[in-house]
Order: sequence, then C-alpha cells, then structure tokens
Amino acid sequence: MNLKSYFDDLVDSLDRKISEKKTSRRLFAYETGRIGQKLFDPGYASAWTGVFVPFEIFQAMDVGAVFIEFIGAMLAGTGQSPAFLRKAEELGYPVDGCSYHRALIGAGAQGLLGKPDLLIGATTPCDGGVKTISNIARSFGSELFVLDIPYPPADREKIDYLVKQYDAMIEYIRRVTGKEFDIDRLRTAAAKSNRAVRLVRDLYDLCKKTPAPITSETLKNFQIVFALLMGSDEGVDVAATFLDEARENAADSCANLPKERYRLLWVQNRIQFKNKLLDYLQDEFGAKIVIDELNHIYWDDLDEDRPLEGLAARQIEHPLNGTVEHRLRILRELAGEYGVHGAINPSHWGCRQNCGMRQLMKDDLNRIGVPFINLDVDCVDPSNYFEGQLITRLQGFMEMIG
Amino acid sequence: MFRHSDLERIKKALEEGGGRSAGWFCSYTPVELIAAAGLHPIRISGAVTPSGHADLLMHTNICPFIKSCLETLESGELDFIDMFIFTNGCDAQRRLYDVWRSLRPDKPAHLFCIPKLTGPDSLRRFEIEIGALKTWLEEAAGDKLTDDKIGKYIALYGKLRGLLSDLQHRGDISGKRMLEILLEAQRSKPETAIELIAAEEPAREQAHGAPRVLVTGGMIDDPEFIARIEKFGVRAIALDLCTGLRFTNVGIYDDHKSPVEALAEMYLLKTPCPRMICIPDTVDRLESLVSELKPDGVIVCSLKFCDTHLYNHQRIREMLRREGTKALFIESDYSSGSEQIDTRIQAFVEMLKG
Ligand code: SF4
Ligand code: SF4
Repeated sequence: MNLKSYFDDLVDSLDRKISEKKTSRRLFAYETGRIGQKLFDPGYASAWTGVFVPFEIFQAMDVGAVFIEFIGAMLAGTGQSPAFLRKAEELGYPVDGCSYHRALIGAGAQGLLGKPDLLIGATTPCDGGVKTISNIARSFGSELFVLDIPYPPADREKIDYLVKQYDAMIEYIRRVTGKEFDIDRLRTAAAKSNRAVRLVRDLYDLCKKTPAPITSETLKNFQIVFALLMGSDEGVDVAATFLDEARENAADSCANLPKERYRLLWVQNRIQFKNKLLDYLQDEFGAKIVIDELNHIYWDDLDEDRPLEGLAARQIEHPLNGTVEHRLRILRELAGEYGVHGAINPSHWGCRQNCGMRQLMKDDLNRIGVPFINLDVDCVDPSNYFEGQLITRLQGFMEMIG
Repeated sequence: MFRHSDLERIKKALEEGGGRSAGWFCSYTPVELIAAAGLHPIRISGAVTPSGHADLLMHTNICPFIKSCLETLESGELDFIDMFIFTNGCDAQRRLYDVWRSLRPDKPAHLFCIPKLTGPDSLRRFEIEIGALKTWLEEAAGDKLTDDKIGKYIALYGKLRGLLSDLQHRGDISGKRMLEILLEAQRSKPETAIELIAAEEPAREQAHGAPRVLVTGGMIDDPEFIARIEKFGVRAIALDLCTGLRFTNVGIYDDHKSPVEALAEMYLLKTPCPRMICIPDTVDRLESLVSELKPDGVIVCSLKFCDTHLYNHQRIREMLRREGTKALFIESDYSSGSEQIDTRIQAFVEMLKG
C-alpha cells in the first residue's frame, strides 16, 4: 500500500464517522490524516523533518510537513512496522537502533512514501534522528537542512543562534520550493498557535483534578502529533474539541468514564502498536494515565511580533534536550502537579538518550515518593513484545503502589 | 582500554610531575587548554569489559565503551584524576556525564558542548563553548589562562600531531605500535609524548608484501585489537579512528587569531567524526582516504549500540563497493576481540591475499 492511499482512505472514513458523531480523537486523526495528504498535494511543498521543529513556520509557508517518527509510529499503529524493520535490516541498518527510524528507512526504501521536497533535521532529541534524515537525503540525492540546537537554558545568544538558522531554513524552503515567506503569515500562525496552546493548557489543568476527565487513551501521542497542527485553524479546532469533551466529562463527574483509583505518569513515548497494557491497568486496578511527559506546555506564549524568537526558545527548552537536570525538574513538577501515584517508562529499545538516564529518573522520582517502573519495550516493533511478562511486572508495580 | 600498567605509568608521571590532571573523552576536546592550565591531560578509556553493572546504571543498549568508562570511574580506579571534561559527542556520552555526576558529585566535571554544524555561526557558538571551558579550567586549576600560555601549547600540540602523522607515514611501523604511541600521546603531557616519538626506533623487520589494510571506525583504544588483525599477516597502514586520525588531523594554528578563535576553527573543522553534519563528512573523507592510500582492504570497526557510526555502515558499504575495495565490518563489544572476530578477520585476510 502506498501512503497516499492510506491517508486518503483514513480521511474519507473519518469524515464519514465525524458526520455521524464528532469526537476529539476522530477529529484529531482526521486532521492529522489531512496533514499526511498534504505530503502528496501539489498545492503544498512536502517536508520530512526531525521531531520538535517549529511547524508554525511550515504552516505559514504552505509546507505539508511531518516528522519522521510520526511515520514510524503510524506504521506500527497499522501493524505494518515489522516488514519495514526487516527491510531496514536487509539494507544493513543496525537492529539495535531506534525502530521509529528503522521503520521509516524500510518504508522509504520500498517506495511507500514518495520523495519529499524538503528534508529538515534537528540535532535534538537524539543522534539517530538526525543521522536518519541525513542518510535519507543522501539516498535521495536531496539537499539536507539541519538545525543545530544548543542545550538549555535558552539565553539571548542561543536564541539568536537558532533564529539565524530559522532564517536560513526559510531561505532553503524558498529556494527549493519557490514558496515565499511572509512574516505576517507567521505572526498569524503564532497567534493561532498561542490560541491552541491556551486551550490545551486548560485541558491539562482539568486533568490535574481528580478524577481526570479523560481515559488513558484520550491523550495518547497528543502533543507530539498536535505539533503538526500548530499555527493552523484546525489546531485551534482540535484543541477546543478536546477541551469541550473534557469539560463535559468533568461536569458529568466523569460518570461515563472508567473509575479512577490510581493516577499515573507516562514517560516519553507510548507503545504504538495494539496492546492490552492500558486496559489491563484500568480494568484490574482503576489506574489511569493522567499525564504524559510529552504532553506538557513548558513554554510561554509566543511573542506575536517576534515569533521566531519564541519558537527558538521553545525548541531549546524542550525537556528532551540537554542534560538530565532539565528533564528531571520537569518530571518532578508534573508528578506533583498531577498528583500521580506512579510513573511508567517503557524504555523504548534503541532510544539511547532515554534509556541512558532511566535509572536517574527512577531514583529521582522515588526520592519524592513516586514509584517508577522501567519496562523493556520496543514501542514500534511488536516482534519482541511479550505482553505476559510486562503484565506480571505491572501487576507487581501496582501492588507496590496499592 | 586502560591496562593496569597504563594506569601505573600515568600515576607515576603525575607523581614525578607533581601536578594535577584532567580526564577527557572525545577528540573534539581542545587538549591545548588543559595543558595550558597546568593540568596533565589524560584521555579516558575503560579499564574493564563491562560486567553488566553499568547496564543497571544506564541500560544494556548503551555503547560498551561508555559502560566500561562508567564502571571504571565508579570502581575508583580513576580517583587519582582530579577532574573530568565530558562532551555531548553522542547521546551515550551526554548520559555518561549525567550518570557520573549523580555517582560522584564531589568530582569537578564540565560538559563541553560541540555544535554539529560547521558554518560561521556554529564556529562562533563553539568559540563561546571553548571560552566557557577555559573559564572552568581557570577556576578548577586556580590559574589564569593567558593567550601566551595557550599559544605555547597550541604550538606544542601542533608539533606533536605533526610528528604522529610523520610516524604513520614512515611506513615501517605496525598498526599496533602506532596505536600504542597515539594512546601515549593522549595520556601524557605533550612534551613527554614528543620525546617518546623522537626515541621511536625504526622497525627492524618490515612486513614486505603484506596486504595493506585501512582500519576505520569509532573508539578503538586497545592496541591488542589491532594486533589481532595484524597477526594474520596484514599491515594496518592507517587508523581512521577516534584515537587515530581524528586526534591527529586537527586544523593548522592561525596565529593571527586569538587562541580561542583559532582553537574553535582547528577543532570544529577537523577531520569530522560521524556525529557531524557537514560536507565532506566522515564517509566522504573515508572515500578520499581510500583513493589516496589505495589499501588492499578496509576493516570497519564499530562498537555495538553506537548509532553515529553504525548508521554510516550502509553508506560505507556502498562507497567501498563503488571503489572496488574489499571490506570487513565488525561490531565489537569493547573487548580485545574474540575467536569469532578472529575467524572473520582470518577469512578476510585470506581473501585479500587471494
Ligand atoms: S524514541 Fe528516542 S531515539 Fe527514537 S526518535 Fe525518539 S528520542 Fe530519538
Ligand atoms: S563509540 Fe559511539 S556511542 Fe560510544 S561514545 Fe563513541 S560515538 Fe558514542
């Protein structure tokens, strides 16, 4: 199957479902599918990017952009990742690397994805991401653009350094695609981004209350994928829909939601292929994911007069960028603000930056009384997934919390 | 890898010199600044094959060099070193810095950040990082780092690197011996290393007619590993490694610039490591090296779980195929080798000998 028909089918079927009943998850998937369609729409330039790059700029320049891990996650979600992981292995890619990237490499090599106009990498959050994008550029014979992201804190000099790179990126987009840049369009996108973020903040605030007016699945992959919609009207609409639903649930005392006895923090990525872990936690223990580490608004509203600077500060201050203190502080804050009883880190195999600090995260959260479990999962590759073992470990973990 | 005798030698040199020392990990570290601060620069290796303990402190899937360094540091074997300079060379190194500080908050440690790009703005960013390292060293060593002092050590290291290159080009030295000398140069004061090279005798027996192999890859810091390759009757004519060409091929000192500016340029634009995003990059440079040296074969050695190197393998494989050069790819575990690796090297060498 090629990806274009996948996105077309997805959008068509969700369109029908939304006309029957509009739910936040449906709308979210629909709008994300439409971003996917833009990759193949001649009216847009297409870009594959690193994760956490400023999509507002792409929005303002009519670039349909997705980060490469999004494709890896999608392939896992649709059960297709194993074949592409095998393909990447045949090509000589190390089997121990991050499978988000390997799945993309395999799919790209099979011609599933077409060829993007633009390839824009970033040096954070991991070595694998930028290596993957640069390898793809080499294999397509395409020009590569990479953003070099300094570590936090985002002081004036580092912001200026990154803003200059954004200027160069804009010039690269203009040169390769002929799409012009208009600062007023970016200001509008920044304003929409701010509007959406305010709604998302309210949504997260509701989740701080007990019970949280969501299920463990409601905000799965939320913010990381929502980034693709930042700066658009669709983004504002999606955020508002999630917030409305959460408000309705809260007003209804969460009567339609499964009971919440325990509140959990999920660290970094969710498991992307179908699995029963969250149902098990909910059904057996009433344990709910109320906050994901990556669902967190850690930045201030963008200054709409100087949007590039705010975007630069946001990218530098990302929790996965830099040394451990920065990330631990955010995890501690989240654990406190959301009143969680425990934290789960899937320790995605192949993610050095996350796995290398997993014991530090555990020790740090334990110090403030939050039990922490490191699982051993590959979030994209179901072939090494042993659900029974994980359930046994989660059972022990929940018994310890209880 | 640090052997017991290496550590004893370093300790003895420190006792005799009466000085303090700073450990460093990555070839982008401007050792000139360490030496100018009156510190003995010691490139850190692991002293052990990782036992599994570092898997608990970090994770199984972290490169074995980093895990070995962590276990060695934790064992107290390197306690005689006064301070450490880590880098953001790769994700594993960044996490080593984090984990190490949690274990030993009492040991001064600095994270030296290297951009991954090499344009003019990245150069200026790198200058700022070098400036920060200089300030940290001044505070740690309690001594002002004047331009004159730094300039003196830039010149001295320039001489040392020149001598190391000449030695490699002399062509009568085994790969194993070359790596021993390279490691000494990275674990000694530059003055001492220069003396050592001057005293290096020409090899008595030269392996005429032996197939010439280029060894390329990441962190090989064990001469025995190279010896295991050479024992099958090949000669390692170049060591395109973190401890080899990536240490010696630093840019030329431009003394019209301030030492910090000059160092930024020398290091950021040096023979790149695969972490860098630049043109020419590591694979392009390897291609030039292969066409320049025309080796009979190339042995590509990477450590397990090293994304920056392993993600290049496919490109290297294609490039060498294009060049018509035979290649052997080894993923190793930071031990001196294994029987399985020996068997593969042997088969490769037999193929080279035709
Ligand atoms: S999971 Fe880790 S290695 Fe994979 S893309 Fe995310 S940060 Fe990078
Ligand atoms: S061998 Fe690779 S992973 Fe290990 S420290 Fe070096 S670059 Fe990092």
